[in-house]
Amino acid sequence: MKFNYLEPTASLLVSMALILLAYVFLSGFFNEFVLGKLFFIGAVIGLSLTLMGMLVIFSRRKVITKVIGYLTMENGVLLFGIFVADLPFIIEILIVIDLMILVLLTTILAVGLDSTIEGYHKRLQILKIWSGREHQ
Amino acid sequence: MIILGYLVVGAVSLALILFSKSHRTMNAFSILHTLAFLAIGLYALLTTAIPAFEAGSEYFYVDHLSIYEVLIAALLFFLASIYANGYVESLMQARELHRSNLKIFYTAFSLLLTTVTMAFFSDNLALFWIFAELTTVFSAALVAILSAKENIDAAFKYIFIASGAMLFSFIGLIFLYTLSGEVLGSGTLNWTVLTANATFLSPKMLTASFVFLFIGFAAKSGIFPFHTWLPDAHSKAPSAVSAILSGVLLNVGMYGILRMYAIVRQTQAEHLVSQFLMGFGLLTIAFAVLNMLLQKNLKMLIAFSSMEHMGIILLGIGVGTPLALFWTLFYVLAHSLTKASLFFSAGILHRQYESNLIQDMRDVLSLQPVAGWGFIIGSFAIVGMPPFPIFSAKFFILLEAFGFSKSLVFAVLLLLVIASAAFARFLIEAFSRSSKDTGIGESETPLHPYIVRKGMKFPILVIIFMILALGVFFPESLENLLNEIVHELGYI
Repeated sequence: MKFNYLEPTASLLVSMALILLAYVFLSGFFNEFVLGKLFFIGAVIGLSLTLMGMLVIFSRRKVITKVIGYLTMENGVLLFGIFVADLPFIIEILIVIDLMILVLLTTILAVGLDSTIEGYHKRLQILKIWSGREHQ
Repeated sequence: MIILGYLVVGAVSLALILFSKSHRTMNAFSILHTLAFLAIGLYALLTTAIPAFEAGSEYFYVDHLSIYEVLIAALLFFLASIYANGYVESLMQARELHRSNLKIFYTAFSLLLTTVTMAFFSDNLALFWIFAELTTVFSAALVAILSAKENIDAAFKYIFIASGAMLFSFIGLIFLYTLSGEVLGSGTLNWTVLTANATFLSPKMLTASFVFLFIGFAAKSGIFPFHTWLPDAHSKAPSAVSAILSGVLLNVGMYGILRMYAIVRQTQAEHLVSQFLMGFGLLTIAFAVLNMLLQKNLKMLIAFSSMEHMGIILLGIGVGTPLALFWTLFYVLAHSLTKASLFFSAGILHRQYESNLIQDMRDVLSLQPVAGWGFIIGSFAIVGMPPFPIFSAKFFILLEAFGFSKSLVFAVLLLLVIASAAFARFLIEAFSRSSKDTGIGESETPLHPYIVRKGMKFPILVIIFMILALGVFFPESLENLLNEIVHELGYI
């Protein structure tokens, strides 16, 4: 079993619905901003990408796929940020560093989580990442 | 200067921990680190002129609220690092914690304190967001430190839910930035500027961005639909870490919500947002309490109780009168201290029985008198019995909530009764069990009392003394501090 709740076909349909949802939601708000058509489309893409990433996180079982879903969410948010507002440079840099640390940690932890406990400890020792320097 | 002092102390103690060899020196350095943070906080509170911007830029801002939260955080870290000395040694002896992970534990511990402090001092909301994300990283590393599969699972759940939700609050920040750009000419995320100009912001957009921001901050403090990581992470983590997760990290999310609410309450969106917050508070309390009632796992019980208290704090923020805010702030302090004592006691009991489950506990009071009584007194304090500070805080928050709706108050009171029943049931079932009555004393080998290591009893006793003192005398300096905070947030 690789999937929770949703099979790939159904999740494709749900993703399309999410794009529509993002469009409807944002068009309710964007008439208050003076932004161009392009920026609006960018914002829709960013928001719907975020929602799709969330869909991946909760519909997949494997941790490494969940990490990819998280990266998708991150991309969506950054895209949204780029299209809608220009934040100060230092803030943007810090955000990227921050998210990189987070992904690094999840990847370190994910090494071998999708295996049994015995296999997990063995893989950790081979890769020498988190623990197990004692018996090699 | 204050921020710089914090950063220097944080960096120096991090370096000292990285270069030290033995467990004892690492622990000594982390105790010194927390003590230095406490000292700087007190110094800033007593001698410098606050509120003030820091380090010549608009990124950091020191006011009474941030110092108050930082002092609570530093106090809890101090107690937890004293406790960790004996506790971590026992974990290593039981082979639950690998000796090579010891340095990672203390590094993450020290970094967590520094990032939490920086988060509280951030004036720029995006900077606050960044530091709040970093606290998730380091605390998840502390949850996963035991490297058992269930711990890593809990850490994953924590990372994905908390930081995934925090990405939504980043969307909220961008909304807010664009919104302020429309009104002020150039966009800004500085809290001070936003509060000063809040009345010009469009209420509809502000509500939208508040809802997005709320998703992330609520996930960080375990509010109902985003709480699913909380019971797992808090109960699987080592007890010294659980105390910090409950007592400090939940406050980070609440702090964010409080700051945002201070902006929103100046506009016409106030009424809607108040109802929104109170609704989620009530849902959180209800969900947590129903999970507590038949709980068989000691640390799960305490974790769900944290969730319940976050619901009450959210309710207190939502009520939004100056008096309610005053008591909500006091509630934060009382809850953090009490919850830490409960987790510390639960840690000793877990060492004794190697399990958190109710059926494994017997002869608690004869085997572990300090932890047993610590847990009993802590339970009385956490459900809000009169001599303890949570009683008065709850009482006044609910009294203020009467102005909004009577049925809400009655619902909360009913739920609080269920919470007390849950604690009472657990206490009676776990603490009255003795090996003589059940007749297993003959066939099974009798339990040997776990020798509680040096420094593990001290934090429990200190906290019980402190909450008793806080409940009986309300120090005037604390009252002045809280009044100052209420004034600075623009409530009076």
